[in-house]
Amino acid sequence: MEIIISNKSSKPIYEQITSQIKAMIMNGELQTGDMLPSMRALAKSLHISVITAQRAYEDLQRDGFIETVTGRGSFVAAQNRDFIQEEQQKKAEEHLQEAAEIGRTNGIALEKLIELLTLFYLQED
Amino acid sequence: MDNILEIENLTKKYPDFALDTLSFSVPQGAIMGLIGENGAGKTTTINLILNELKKDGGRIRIFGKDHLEHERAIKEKIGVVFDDCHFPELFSANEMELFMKDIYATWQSKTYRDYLKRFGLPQDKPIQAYSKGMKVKLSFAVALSHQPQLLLLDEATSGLDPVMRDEILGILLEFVQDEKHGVLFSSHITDDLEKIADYITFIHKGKLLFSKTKDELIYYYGVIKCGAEMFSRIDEADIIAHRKQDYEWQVLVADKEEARRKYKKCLIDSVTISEIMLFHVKGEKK
Amino acid sequence: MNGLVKKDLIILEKQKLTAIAGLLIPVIIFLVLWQGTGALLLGALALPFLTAFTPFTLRASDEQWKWDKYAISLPVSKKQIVASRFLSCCLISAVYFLFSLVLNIGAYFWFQDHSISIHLASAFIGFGVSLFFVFLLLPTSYARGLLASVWVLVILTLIYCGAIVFISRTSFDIFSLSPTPTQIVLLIGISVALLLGFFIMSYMVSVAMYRKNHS
Repeated sequence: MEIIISNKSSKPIYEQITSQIKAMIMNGELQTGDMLPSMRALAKSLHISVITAQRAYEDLQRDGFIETVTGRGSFVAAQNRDFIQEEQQKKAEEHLQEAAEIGRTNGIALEKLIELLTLFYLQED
Repeated sequence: MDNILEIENLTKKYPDFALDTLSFSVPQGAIMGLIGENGAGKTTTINLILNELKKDGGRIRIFGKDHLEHERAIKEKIGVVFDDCHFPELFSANEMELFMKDIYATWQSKTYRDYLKRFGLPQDKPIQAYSKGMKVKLSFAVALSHQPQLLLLDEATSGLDPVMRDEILGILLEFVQDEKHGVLFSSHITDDLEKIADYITFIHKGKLLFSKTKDELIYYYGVIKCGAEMFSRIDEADIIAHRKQDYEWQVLVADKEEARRKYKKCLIDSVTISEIMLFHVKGEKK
Repeated sequence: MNGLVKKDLIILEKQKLTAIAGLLIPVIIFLVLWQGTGALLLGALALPFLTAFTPFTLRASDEQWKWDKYAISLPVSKKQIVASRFLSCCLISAVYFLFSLVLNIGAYFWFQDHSISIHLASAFIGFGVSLFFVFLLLPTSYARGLLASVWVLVILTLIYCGAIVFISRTSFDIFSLSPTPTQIVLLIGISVALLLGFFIMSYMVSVAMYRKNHS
């Protein structure tokens, strides 16, 4: 398992960790039942504070991606369709927000953006 | 969660300085950074914990026990690293062990030798021949070789190059792999604390300004940068401290996301620990 | 506490060459110049003076590296820190005493110019004096620092030497003294009691001074 964090990113480190672990779970790199490093071990490997690693794991658990069993460790949880859906929707939202921002600041009409989105959505690869 | 170190209303009076009802706690398994200007009271606090100075009031509990009543038993389990190495420098690392193992009932020779090897410290040479970084590493080797549960570091990494500091941070993270351990790390090098501290406690002129999680400070605190007109419209309750610079006003707030929603036209930046310190020390509070 | 005594001994061990030279040179000079009387002078005068260096060397090492700043983190009480220092100094005095004893007994057999009891007396008196020096110098250095104890030592030595010179100038022949066994026992008893009392005072003052400087 590889996690790369940036100290300079405006995205908090715990968010960077949760994003990357979620991505690994989604694309199958991490399978259901796989054990994650303990949060302390993770903190040590990444050279971050334990409380940050703890926050990342807590968020992953809250979002249903992992389960932590006291005394045993943290494991990838069985994937819930709804959760995955929600995650991907969040991703799409982020991209759309970016596009909207670009449109706004550069004077691209909203209708044009909707047109483009429809085009991309219906396009067959 | 239990606290490995509890300081309650700690007071120490001097003619021109006083530590005033200082209270904070270090939870088990945590690294707490202690920050403050020179002379703010950080070293005084550590000396009071160790009973080098006698406190005028308050309570200090370590491992749940009063620090005076069980002083010797507690000190068996505390490792201390100061900013300077105070070992007799004509001694070699080997000779240090010769007498340290009689002082600490829990001394572990193998652990000590392993650290010496790992840090690349020549065992037979007098400490005088060591570089500053090597002396600090030796201090850590000694501090870590008697099964300590609490590490007290007083500016232990000042004067070290970034490579060595990084190694030390790694050692501290290793140390808290055990949830029953804890570290109180007084330091000026806020970069290091930003990396590995779980909590930050800020002492200023003998008083506690805050004791918070590092993540709250780094990710939630922010600074609003705006002009004078906008500044007058900012809610007083949101302002922790403010500074007027040549071309702008800067306001420290506790929740930058909320500030972004409330004050849409302003530029709102994240803030580093040293900037937070500056705001508290040099800034004005309404 | 053992650990601290060991530390002191290691510090002294590093100075052993100087110590040995500082010992052998006077020994050779005194014996060559004054034979049996030389041994007496060594026992009663030179050797206690030499052992007085021990509190310095140890205190100087402490101050040079600011050891006391670190010692506060050790699981030893302030009393033990002071007690271990006393112990180290007394140990060294004892070592010098044994040497002085052997030296004087040897001188008795070799030079034969004084009685065995005088030689023994010299060694014992020297031991008593060296302990006295230790009990005076340690609290001085705890109270006022290294420099003050240097002065105290210098003054003491001058007084001591002065007394000896004075006695030798008078027609008082120390060697014609022959105290009775009872008197000897009494003398020893009083000296031991005085030394013990002085030790207790010295120890208590040292601890108080150490505490004062570290609170």
